Amino acid sequence: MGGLMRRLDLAFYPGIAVLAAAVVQPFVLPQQSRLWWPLVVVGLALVALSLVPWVVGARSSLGARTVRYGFNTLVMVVLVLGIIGVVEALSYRHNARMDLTENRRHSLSSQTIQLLKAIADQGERGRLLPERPAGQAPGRGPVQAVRALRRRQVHVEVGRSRPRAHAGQGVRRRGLRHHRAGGQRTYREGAGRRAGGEAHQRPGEGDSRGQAPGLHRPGPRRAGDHQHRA
Amino acid sequence: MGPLATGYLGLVLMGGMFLAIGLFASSLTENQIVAAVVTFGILLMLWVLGWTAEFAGGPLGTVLTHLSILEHNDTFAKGVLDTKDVIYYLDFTALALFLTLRSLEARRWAG
Repeated sequence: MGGLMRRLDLAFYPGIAVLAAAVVQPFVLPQQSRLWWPLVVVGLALVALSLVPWVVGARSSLGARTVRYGFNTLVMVVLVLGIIGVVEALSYRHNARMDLTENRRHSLSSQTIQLLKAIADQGERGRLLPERPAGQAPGRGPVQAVRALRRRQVHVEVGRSRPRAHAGQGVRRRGLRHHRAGGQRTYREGAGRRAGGEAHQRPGEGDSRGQAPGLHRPGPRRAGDHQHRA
Repeated sequence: MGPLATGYLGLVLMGGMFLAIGLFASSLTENQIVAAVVTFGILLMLWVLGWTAEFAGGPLGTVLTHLSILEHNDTFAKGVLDTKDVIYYLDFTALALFLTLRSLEARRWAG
């Protein structure tokens, strides 16, 4: 038994060597890509085997009381982490905000909110913020503005209104909006029309990044609305 | 006056959280240098989470942004008091203190 354990312990170094071979294989032998997975599996198996003596030794040294206390502590930590996660999620969703600056300079004025609500009530949508260049990270200002509006029950849709710019075509900055809802893709003519009337939308547009927020309150469907199954 | 008060409140809350994390790291080891390095690592990780959020995007990006220290401190510095920022600091402080307590208790029964 002791000899077997010693041999298993020695399996650690071959395991590491095999894993190292798996790391360098794509660079040294790129044409032998089918070797990569077997090398990884064998390396991990050898390392796991080398851990067996350590696990056996740890189990014999740990008493039943220690294992029980350790398990209790683990459960308590997981429970507390879960509670904190829930509290964080709730505080993120339902937060109260107090702007203590002079003239409430980091908050929207009541006139602005009323105006935006009125626009939303009319079923109109419009671009509130300018587009940012591709690849540029979204600023905090637009994100905070959208959050502030949502806190005031103004339904804000964040969508990209930049159509695909075809070479040689004068494409307006505003075009079709792309919405995802329940597995459906909906293309609606929103704030503007593209030149030439072509209704293309780039795949992936409509995600939460790189977008200009617009207001939308569901209104009567218009003649320009049409849907496609995804 | 408002921004000053919120700025100080933010500093106190952030300082409390840093101290609690340092206390937890200190409870893990008897070596002060190791404790300092572990604390620095944890705080650095919480600091740079906001940067990685921009690459992650989507819900994961939102979560990472929320976990970042910088985002919450900015709000206080601007003079805005938001409950989610206060709860963030209090939550992490409580979590670090709880883990410290567990770590110290574990020393008794783990030997």
